[in-house]
Amino acid sequence: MTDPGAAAAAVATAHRAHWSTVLAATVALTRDLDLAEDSVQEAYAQALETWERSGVPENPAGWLTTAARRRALDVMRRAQTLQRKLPLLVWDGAGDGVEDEDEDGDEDEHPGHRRIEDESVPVVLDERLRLIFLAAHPALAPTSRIVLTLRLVGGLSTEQIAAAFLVQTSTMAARLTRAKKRIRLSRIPCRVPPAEELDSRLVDVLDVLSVLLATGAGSGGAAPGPAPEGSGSRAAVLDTVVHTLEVLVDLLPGRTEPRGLLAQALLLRARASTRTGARGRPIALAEQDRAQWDRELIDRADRLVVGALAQGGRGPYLLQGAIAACVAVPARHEDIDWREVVELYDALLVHWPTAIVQLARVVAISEADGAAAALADLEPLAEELDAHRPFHVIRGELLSRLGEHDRAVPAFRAALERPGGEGESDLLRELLRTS
Amino acid sequence: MARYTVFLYHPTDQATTDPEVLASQMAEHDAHGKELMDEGVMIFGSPLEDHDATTSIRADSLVDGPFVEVNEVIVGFYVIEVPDLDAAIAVARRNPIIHQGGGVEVRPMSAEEQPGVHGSIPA
Repeated sequence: MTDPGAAAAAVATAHRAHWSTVLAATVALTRDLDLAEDSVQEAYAQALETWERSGVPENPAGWLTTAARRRALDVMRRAQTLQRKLPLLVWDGAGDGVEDEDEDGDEDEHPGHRRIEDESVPVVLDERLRLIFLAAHPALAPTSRIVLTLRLVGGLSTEQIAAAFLVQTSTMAARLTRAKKRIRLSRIPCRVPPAEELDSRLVDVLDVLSVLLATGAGSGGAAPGPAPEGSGSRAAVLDTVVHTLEVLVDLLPGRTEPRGLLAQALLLRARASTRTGARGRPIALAEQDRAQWDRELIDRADRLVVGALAQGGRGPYLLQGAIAACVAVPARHEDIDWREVVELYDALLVHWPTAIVQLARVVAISEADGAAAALADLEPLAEELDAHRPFHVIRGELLSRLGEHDRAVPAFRAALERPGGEGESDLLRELLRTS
Repeated sequence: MARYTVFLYHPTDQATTDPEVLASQMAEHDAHGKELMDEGVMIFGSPLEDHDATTSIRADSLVDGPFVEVNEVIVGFYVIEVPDLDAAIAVARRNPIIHQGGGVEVRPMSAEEQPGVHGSIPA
């Protein structure tokens, strides 16, 4: 007998750490995403029971893989007798049709597909890359890529994904079904792209993870008060982002971009508890309590960025990671090297010449060269960013710093009229009352 | 292996009228089609005559013109047989119409054993 709490904790840990490994190994067998997912889900349910009774196995991933594949095999044998025919997921080296299998389940002799016989055999981890690249395939609609990544790589339930995006569970279920049907009917292959396509496909993956990082950022931290709706699911989203990036960093050591985005995710997490105060009010960077930041995470992020830069990386995600590290690493706010931050933004603008990046650069300029210089750089963005609340907030703050309160007030009022977080709206209303 | 139909689209308002340009564009398509046949990828392909030559039939009418009025019309199509969508995209991306101001659409076809699939053109 194991302590029921310990068994449940082990299953939860295994879910976070091994979901995509177990799923990839099961998809390799079924070549049917739905069947594989069902089997993996059942394997986790079975683990909860069995591990409580007979203890947590030495190799949880291996145990779960074996259990999931056995269940899948059972279903496939029955389906075969019913002559069920569905187009199978394209998996390199695999022919069509369900192969005959031995009782012990050692059936896979396809090149590029390693065998996972039982829990004594170490589980091969790199099959996870197939799912990561499948979920972010360029032939899928951007929203499909996002939800499939959460489902296939993160193992989030339909309810969790629906909650993270504040939509009905039935809506999300339909979206997932459509995305998987698209994969099946179009025969989108479940494979790691060949070398000549790897970099562009990696950008697709990172773009998905970057959107998810923004969603996960809404998970807040240890902010007092009741958690906002969907925040638990958004924490699971952030877990998925970090986990997926760790896999990419591990398995594609020659690529520097995943390290940049992982650094961003870790830094976000390190600072999560101080970004907002009571009632979700944003706290300015200079006023955040750095002593509460997670130093261990910050150091890890810093090492990732420094290593990737030393390796010659200069891609946009690495530059963003470097910017985030520049801001987070110094022990005191006054020690931030804003000149360097401005230079990193200049480099980022070469990749992404967008008004949003310009706006972020303006904030760095205000620290490096003062509010007047920043305001001069900000004004040309007025037309493009008129609908964007942060533009007006930053404009109001710069004008306040320059003592131009008559012009700052309309800017804050304009900000309040644009959509944004409730906590920030509170703050803006207070500013308008006191100025 | 799976079959895909690749549809070639071109905007109607940008149709080239210069016969020399037209001839050189068509020569490009001809060479490209031959290439795909030689590679054993294409099963069948053909340009379509001018879309003004279309006849549309519904239960209650027969109309001189396209089924749906759109700005971009199908000017040709071909059927290819490849392992998966990545391969189909790689083939379709080479189509000359893409640099002639148009574009292509890749559609998976039902598997051969599915209802509704008849005849087979030897590759």
